[in-house]
Amino acid sequence: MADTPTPLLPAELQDLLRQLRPVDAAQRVRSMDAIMAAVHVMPAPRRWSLPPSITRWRRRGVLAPAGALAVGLLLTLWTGVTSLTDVLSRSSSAVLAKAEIIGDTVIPRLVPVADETRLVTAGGVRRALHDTLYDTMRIVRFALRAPEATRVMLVESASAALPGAQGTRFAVARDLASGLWEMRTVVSRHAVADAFAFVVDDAQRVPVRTPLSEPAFGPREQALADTSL
Amino acid sequence: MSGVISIMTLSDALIVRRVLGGDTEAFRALVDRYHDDAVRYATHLLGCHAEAEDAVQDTFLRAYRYLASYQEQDKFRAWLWRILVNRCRTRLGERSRRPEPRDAAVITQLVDANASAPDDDLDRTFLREELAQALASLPADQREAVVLHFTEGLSYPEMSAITGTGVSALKMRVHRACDRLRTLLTDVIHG
Repeated sequence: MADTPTPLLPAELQDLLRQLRPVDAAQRVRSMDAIMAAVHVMPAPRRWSLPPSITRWRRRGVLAPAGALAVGLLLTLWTGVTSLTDVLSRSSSAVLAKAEIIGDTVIPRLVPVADETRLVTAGGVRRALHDTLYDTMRIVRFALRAPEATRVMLVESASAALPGAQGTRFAVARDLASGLWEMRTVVSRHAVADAFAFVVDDAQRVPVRTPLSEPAFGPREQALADTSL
Repeated sequence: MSGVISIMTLSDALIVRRVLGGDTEAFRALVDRYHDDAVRYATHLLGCHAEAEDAVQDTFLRAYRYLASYQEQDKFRAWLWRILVNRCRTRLGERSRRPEPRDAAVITQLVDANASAPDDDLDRTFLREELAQALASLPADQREAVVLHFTEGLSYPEMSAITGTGVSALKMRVHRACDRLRTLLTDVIHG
């Protein structure tokens, strides 16, 4: 004998649920008449309400399989070409370097002075006038966008370096907020465009392309002339 | 009259085919066949007889409008009930967005309509009233499941096809609804 599942409701309640028929006879007739009256004024339903000569797109709002395939192919080609162009031109992993001049500052600098510029006094030879000059340096912000880099150094050539710091390599820190590798330093105002370069992961050299050679207060010779009295 | 009688003996699929062929009056046979069950189901679900009548009329008009989408391999009743369930759900949703008296208040119309059955004794009338009140206190999804299962006598796969809910979820709803009904009606049943 097969097991019968335990009823979830007592038989009496199930009986009542089946017997509940809240339908009044007069109301039923009125309701059916209202339905049929509305039906008679509605347009008759048809299996093919639109002639098959109309395209599937207009008839059903969907493409036929061949049309969908063609549209999909075109979209794939188009997005493929544009994404390839995007990768070649400006990929998100591309490395970009930038330098900008923030301002100028002055730093004392020893300048060799010719003998004829020395002043001779009654007490003998004393220190030359203006043997210590205050040279104008530039505060430059270097920035590198290299999302996949793990270690970045800023390398400067001798022409841009501070006195006594030729060829120095600076470790560049990464700004967590912007994701850029940034550092600020002072450089000679005579530094040329290719004086600095980033070295990414000790392998890739990225020159800083922003020109740095615009003089702050005029050419070097003019500055020397002004100060070498 | 003989035409109506012959139509009433036809299967649902054949009647639908006649309606689609232009015989609009044949649709009355389908209305006559399923009107009572639809009103009963909607009344149990909505708890308001007048609102149930509106939902049923709306259901039949939608069924007529979209009759061409009915596939003959499907049961017409299940197809019609899918529309009915959706209409009732829509009305329940509309009701929840506007202040209305609780279901327990409007279900009294259902109780009044059934309590006057001449062959009912007083206990059975009282039990019927309590059952209607208990049904009205159920959540809408549980009430829908228990009415489809017990009142309409549908199997779980049939209920799943109509409501779009999984069989296991429907079983759980029926189980919880029955637990709730048993709790609410313990005193009445054993009293």
